[in-house]
Amino acid sequence: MAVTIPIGPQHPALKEPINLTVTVDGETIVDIGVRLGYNHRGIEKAGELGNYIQDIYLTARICGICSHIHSTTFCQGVEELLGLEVPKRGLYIRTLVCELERIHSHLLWLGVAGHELGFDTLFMYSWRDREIVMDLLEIISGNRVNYGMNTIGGVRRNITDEMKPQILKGIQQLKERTEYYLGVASTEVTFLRRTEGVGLLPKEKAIELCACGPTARGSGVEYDVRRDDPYAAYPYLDFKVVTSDLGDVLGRTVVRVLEVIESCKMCRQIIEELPEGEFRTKAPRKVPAGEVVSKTEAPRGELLHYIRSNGTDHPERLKVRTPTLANITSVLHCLKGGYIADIPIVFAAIDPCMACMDRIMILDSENRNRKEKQAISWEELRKYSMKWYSDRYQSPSPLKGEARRV
Amino acid sequence: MSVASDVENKLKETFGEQILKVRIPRERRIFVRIPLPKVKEVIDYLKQSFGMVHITTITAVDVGEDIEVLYHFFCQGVTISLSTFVPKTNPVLDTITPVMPGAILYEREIQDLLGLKVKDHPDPRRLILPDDWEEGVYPLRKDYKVEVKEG
Repeated sequence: MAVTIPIGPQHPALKEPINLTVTVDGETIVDIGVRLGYNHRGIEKAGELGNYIQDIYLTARICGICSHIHSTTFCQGVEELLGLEVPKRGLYIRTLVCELERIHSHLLWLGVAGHELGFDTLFMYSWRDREIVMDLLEIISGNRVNYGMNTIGGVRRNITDEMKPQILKGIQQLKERTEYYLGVASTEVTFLRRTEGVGLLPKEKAIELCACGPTARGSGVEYDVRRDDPYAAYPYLDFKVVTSDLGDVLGRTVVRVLEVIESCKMCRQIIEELPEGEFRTKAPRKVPAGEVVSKTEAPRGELLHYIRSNGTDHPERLKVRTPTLANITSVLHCLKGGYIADIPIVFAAIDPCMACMDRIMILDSENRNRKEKQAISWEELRKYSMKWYSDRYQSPSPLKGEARRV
Repeated sequence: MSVASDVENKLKETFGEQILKVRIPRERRIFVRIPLPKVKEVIDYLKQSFGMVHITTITAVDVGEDIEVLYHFFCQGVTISLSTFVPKTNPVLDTITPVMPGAILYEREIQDLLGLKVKDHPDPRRLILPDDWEEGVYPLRKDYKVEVKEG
């Protein structure tokens, strides 16, 4: 007997809303559908109304977590249309904020993942350490979120010599803490039991469904815009593209944690090799007619802005493709055949930017004529998933052999 | 020879006059304009001969009489943008989801926001606009005016 469960869309206290229609047979998910747009704010239309300067701040407000990467993508697109050469120091500072933002986003994700698994100690620890990177961003930009660092032609604030030792110290602390989390993610039994083999996305499927970012790299797809379509200061930096062949939630976790360590190394290199000179150049208000595809690697994956200009001071068309939309198709595939109890972590594992599925309504297909509805909150589903797993492992059988190291 | 110019040459060799315009504005970018009925064929050709399997998104732009549709692909380090014109009087185009499974949501998105009709789409339901949104009103078309409130 198949039962259909609508999950979502609204809860004002959480992130962005989405609706999933899950068809289950017992505990197993047999089908899943998606409905988006509950938080559609018409930003692409608004982008056509504003001028280029206003649109920098508009695009920065597409996402509260990765605001800098959006304005970076927009600014470098407009710079390409203008044929503007940004001073190297500006590119380095822009890249530094990109990488600090990635660290903050990935640590935030690690905490959320821990929380969804009922591992709240990890949540508290990683969010405490995230404060370090928030403080660094505040030192550089004056803000903890929505840094407002970018402008067409460079960045708005310089990095002074007094900032450098503070940044280096913070990065060293972050690196040490992240190395500790790598140990936790690869050896802690609670964590492994909930992530190993869960939400499998085979490499061929990830390629076929055009997954991107850590979701794709966790399935062994070696694609990173920073290396494959380099922008800003990435051509001058040494870094590895981290991948994992596991293809499950554990694989995606390991990729993110290792990426934080890579980002720390990049930040150190940027500070040590920061070129002297100007950090921005003057840009005209009007942009000649043309079109441009600007791509970057956001913390969640490949981000694309398509900008078409018409010779005036406002764009003809601004198109934004965020990485979450690309990964939705993959997450639906991951959930199929899995358990209800895995919905929270599998969905969280793509680091969705619109996953607020707080209100769950269970419609029992046998009782449908009685119009009996039972509403479950996201919180209750999380608790249910933890209980379901603890019942499952009630007679604790020791893991076969040593807990595996990743 | 760069991948982008290789794509240009191969396309011109195979499709001849059907390749209406090619622009390589800088390294790793190529824009190719093709007629509407050739879209699927060209995508299939690039998939077979260049291993092009990654679609990043589909952009649709209202250009007056027509809607310009751009398919953005990524292949061998190059972003390939295939563009075609769809007349507003008959805004129908074929689905590419069977050849590019990743395109499924992007095709639903342009259906909602620009009023294009994707023929034979496996799941043509609304994706973004609310269920009670008026039929025939497409917010990203230029005739859809937004009221701007000051303050």
